[in-house]
Amino acid sequence: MTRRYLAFVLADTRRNWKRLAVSSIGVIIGIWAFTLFFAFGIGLDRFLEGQVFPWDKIVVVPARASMDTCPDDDYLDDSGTFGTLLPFAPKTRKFSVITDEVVNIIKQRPEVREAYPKMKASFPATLVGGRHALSLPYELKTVLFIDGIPADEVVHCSSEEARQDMALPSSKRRCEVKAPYSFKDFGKEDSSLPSCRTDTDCPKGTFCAINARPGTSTGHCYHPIPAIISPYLLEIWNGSVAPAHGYPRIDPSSLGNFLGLTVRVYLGSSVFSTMKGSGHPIMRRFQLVGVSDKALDLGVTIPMGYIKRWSRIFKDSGNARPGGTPAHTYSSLVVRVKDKRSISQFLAFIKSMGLSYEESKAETAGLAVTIITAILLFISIVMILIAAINIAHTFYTIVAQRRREIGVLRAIGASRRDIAALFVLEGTILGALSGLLGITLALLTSTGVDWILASAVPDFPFKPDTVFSYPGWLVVLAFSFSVIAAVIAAYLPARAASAVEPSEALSVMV
Amino acid sequence: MAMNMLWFAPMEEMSEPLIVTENLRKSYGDTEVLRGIDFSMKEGEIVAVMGRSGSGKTTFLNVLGGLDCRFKGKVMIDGLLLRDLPDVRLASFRSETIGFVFQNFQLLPHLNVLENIALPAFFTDFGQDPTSRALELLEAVGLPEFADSHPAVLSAGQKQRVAIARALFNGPKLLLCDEPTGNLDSATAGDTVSLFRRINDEEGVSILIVTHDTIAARAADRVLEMKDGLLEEVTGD
Repeated sequence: MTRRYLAFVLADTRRNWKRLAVSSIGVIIGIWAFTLFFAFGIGLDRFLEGQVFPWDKIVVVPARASMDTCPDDDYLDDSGTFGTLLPFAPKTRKFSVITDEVVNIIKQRPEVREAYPKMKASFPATLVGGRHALSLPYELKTVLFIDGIPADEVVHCSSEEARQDMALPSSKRRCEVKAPYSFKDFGKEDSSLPSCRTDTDCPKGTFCAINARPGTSTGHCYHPIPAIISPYLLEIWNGSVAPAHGYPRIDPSSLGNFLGLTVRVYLGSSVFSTMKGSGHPIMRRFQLVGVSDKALDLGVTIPMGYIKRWSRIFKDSGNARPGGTPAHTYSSLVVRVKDKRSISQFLAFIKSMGLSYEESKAETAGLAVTIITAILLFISIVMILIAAINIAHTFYTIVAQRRREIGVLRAIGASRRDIAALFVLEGTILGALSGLLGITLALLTSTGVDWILASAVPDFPFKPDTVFSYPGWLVVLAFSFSVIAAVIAAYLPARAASAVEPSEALSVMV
Repeated sequence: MAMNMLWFAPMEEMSEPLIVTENLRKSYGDTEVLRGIDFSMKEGEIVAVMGRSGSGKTTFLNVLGGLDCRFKGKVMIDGLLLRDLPDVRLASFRSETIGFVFQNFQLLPHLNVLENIALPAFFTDFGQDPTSRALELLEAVGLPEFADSHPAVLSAGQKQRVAIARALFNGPKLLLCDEPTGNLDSATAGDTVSLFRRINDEEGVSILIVTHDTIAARAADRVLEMKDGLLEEVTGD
């Protein structure tokens, strides 16, 4: 039956194609806008939450003294309102600092995929270097922010593993430090190295560090301290710093010539202030060994053992920053959660432990994107509704003009249902064609926008390859939306057409 | 091609009435158009109903054809009581039992001649190939060369022949013709009437013609006149 209907409707659509084409323009534009805006919202959200502000990353920090503290109670009810009513409700122990115990408790939570502590350097540091790497006539001198993570948290890869890893898409690569480099605390090995006056006095792969103490001419051999940087810092460098100053860009996947680069770092030395107390800066060399999103956003990350030892040294010498992290506690705990839906549950648990968390930029950015997307979608849905009304109007006109024809069709055996089905099928075809055209136009538009973004817009940090995302469900949704809107628009005129008594329809000509 | 190979409505007992109406009444608002018609028509008959414009002829035809079910009284066609039938049943009754011929032909302009004739096949489970059936009918009405033409290029007489072929597509028992010669010149009207006569003679298809044209009435076995909402016999057999 549908095949016969289809043959009839196709013949009829051919007859009315100009009028139907005009009335379907609204639906095409509406579906185009709906698909494009939705794809933009999803793409932007994924880009922001995936690359700029990872959605699954939560930074747990000790609560400030004024926040979330209950000095008279070491335990906090973990079960909300009902917990206060239940005498045996489980209680969570409270903590004011992040210790190994806190790390272990949080690592065992079911929401947690990965957790590692961080320790900020409690002393200032100054970087000096880069003359050769950047082809400068002078050495760069800048403040350096440093933190530390456990060395075994960084993914090391052999040469073969690194080669295989490079073949994967960038989002799936795992290797953070590749052979021959390693992210390792050389503290023990360094203690057995000899004294020196110059680098040539040191074994291969080590260097001579002479502390900036007046009258000191001998030092000690040390391994360079492995440091990793974040993709975020690379984006800032490649997107802003390098173009602005004419410095070379750094390949984010291999680091190019910058891999293995060593710079001098003066620990306990600040470009902003003079030394306090009796301490003197310690000179070490840092070596760039890899890129990891575990690294400090604007600074470098080194094995935590170094930070612990230096924190003790500078605390004793009085050069530690006020409020710095004590050597036995961590400044923060970075947690990657398994599932977006479990975030609020996990944050509630963190609060119940008396701890706090850094405000999620992903949440804020995601909310902004959601609001913008919602507004754009609302506009496109209104456009589609207006288009649907236009289609309904067109069908009403067609019904009025084909009143006699409907009468004839009824006379030769068409039922009310047949007549309604003809118009609904015509609406379905119209909606399907409009949907396909609208979606195709949206895909072409986004390809054009991406091309303009790539070729005409100057580089900027985190410049994306595309700001659109077309998951399969979006295409299905847009197509269904188009068909449903057109079918609903055709349905009322179709009902009106089928309700006409054949004798009334034929009376027009009698 | 012999006509009896085309009009395949089965020949049945001529004594059984095909149409029976008893006290048929139909009003439009306060105006009563049909005022209690008692009428019967046997299978194989040709009956002409004459009358002035507005006398209710077309209304009578619409009721008999199941195109208007808002009437009072009894209407039985081929043993089927037409009142209170569900729409789908009524549609299949029209498709299987009745063939309509209209004054203005009512061919669909966007379909060619062959498609117009095969139009009923869109709405019924037609057993054989609709195109070959339509071609047979087109030959039978003498227009095989116009199969691919559109109605716009046909003369009035040719259009009416195509319309008759369409009416016969499903092999109906009864043709209901509303002023079938109203738009034709006298010669063409005569041809059309002859065609009706042939259809009736060779296949026994019953034909009810409402007309004010005496040429059309001449072909009838009986002629009735619609007057003040009632039918009066004008001539007998």
